[in-house]
Amino acid sequence: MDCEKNYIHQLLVQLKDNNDEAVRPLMDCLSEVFYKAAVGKYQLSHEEAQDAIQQAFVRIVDGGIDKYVEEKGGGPGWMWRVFGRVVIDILRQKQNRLRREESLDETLEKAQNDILVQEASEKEDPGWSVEHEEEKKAVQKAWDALSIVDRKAILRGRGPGTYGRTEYWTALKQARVLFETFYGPIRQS
Amino acid sequence: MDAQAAARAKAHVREMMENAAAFTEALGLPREKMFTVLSVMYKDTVVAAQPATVTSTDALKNRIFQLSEEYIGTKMKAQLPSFHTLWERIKTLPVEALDMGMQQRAPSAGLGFAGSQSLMPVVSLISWAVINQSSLTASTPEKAKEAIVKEAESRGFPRSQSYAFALYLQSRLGNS
Repeated sequence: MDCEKNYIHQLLVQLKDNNDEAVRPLMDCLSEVFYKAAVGKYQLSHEEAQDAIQQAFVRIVDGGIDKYVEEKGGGPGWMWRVFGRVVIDILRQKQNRLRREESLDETLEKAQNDILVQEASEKEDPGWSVEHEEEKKAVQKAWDALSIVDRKAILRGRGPGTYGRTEYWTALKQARVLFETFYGPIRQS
Repeated sequence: MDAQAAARAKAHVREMMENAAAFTEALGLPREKMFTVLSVMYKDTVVAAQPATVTSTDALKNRIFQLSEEYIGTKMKAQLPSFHTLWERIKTLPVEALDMGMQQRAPSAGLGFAGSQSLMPVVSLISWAVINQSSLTASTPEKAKEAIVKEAESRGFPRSQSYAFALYLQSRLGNS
């Protein structure tokens, strides 16, 4: 599904109408570009970026969506604003923690400006697009080559208990084999 | 959004992130790739029809009323009081009558008050869209748009207004 403005808008409308499933394609559409922005532009660590994305989506479903004005149809611009506010909060907390006002002030100001620009343009910065296309294509090929049963097992998750579900681990192993077939062996760091 | 739906949505967010992180690790990729992996895993996610989708006649009528009131209140504001009067007169009719019975030109003849003539085709079109919501949402956005435009034109709306209707109804019924 193309993550166009109107599609995002539709998903937000559905989410507002209590269709909790709409959060899945929203995350699919936006979490990767949010991550690129958080790490690439605002110098957040992986953990901070991950936290920012989770916080943004939780903030949206935890009341934020009720403020979404359907008539305005903001879509991705509205999402970026919510995400931007979370990033700014994290940067502020970081600033307080590190007491490094000079460098983080600049980042904070930059984040605020970027978010205004992003909201006005409502377009994804091409500079934030996927860097490792080859790798992503291999992941995609591996995913597509998995059987439906294996894909479902992975999407169901690990499952309860110490060892989780057997079919989950079998599917993960199969995915790794397929991925390495398409991409080559991965060197462990 | 109600509390239960919000709790379910939060669970989806957590589950997606956990699954993506685990799958990234299983592939041997660095953790920084987890959102790339997530976008692959959930690329084909299809949103099921709105759980609150109308199922009973009363629910269908409520939806028709809500959408009609919203559309008229936005685009034909001066006629909102007339719409409320009209609705009081037609709300007991079967939903099929709101759709099928009103398709002829000058459909409101006999309702007996000014303004109803321009409102009835609006209610009729919205009724048709609500009744056919499941097939509209199952179609591609382009096909759904064509179907709405065709229905609107068959009720005497000009082409530009028919497209405006398509835009509005697709945004409300979940296919655009």
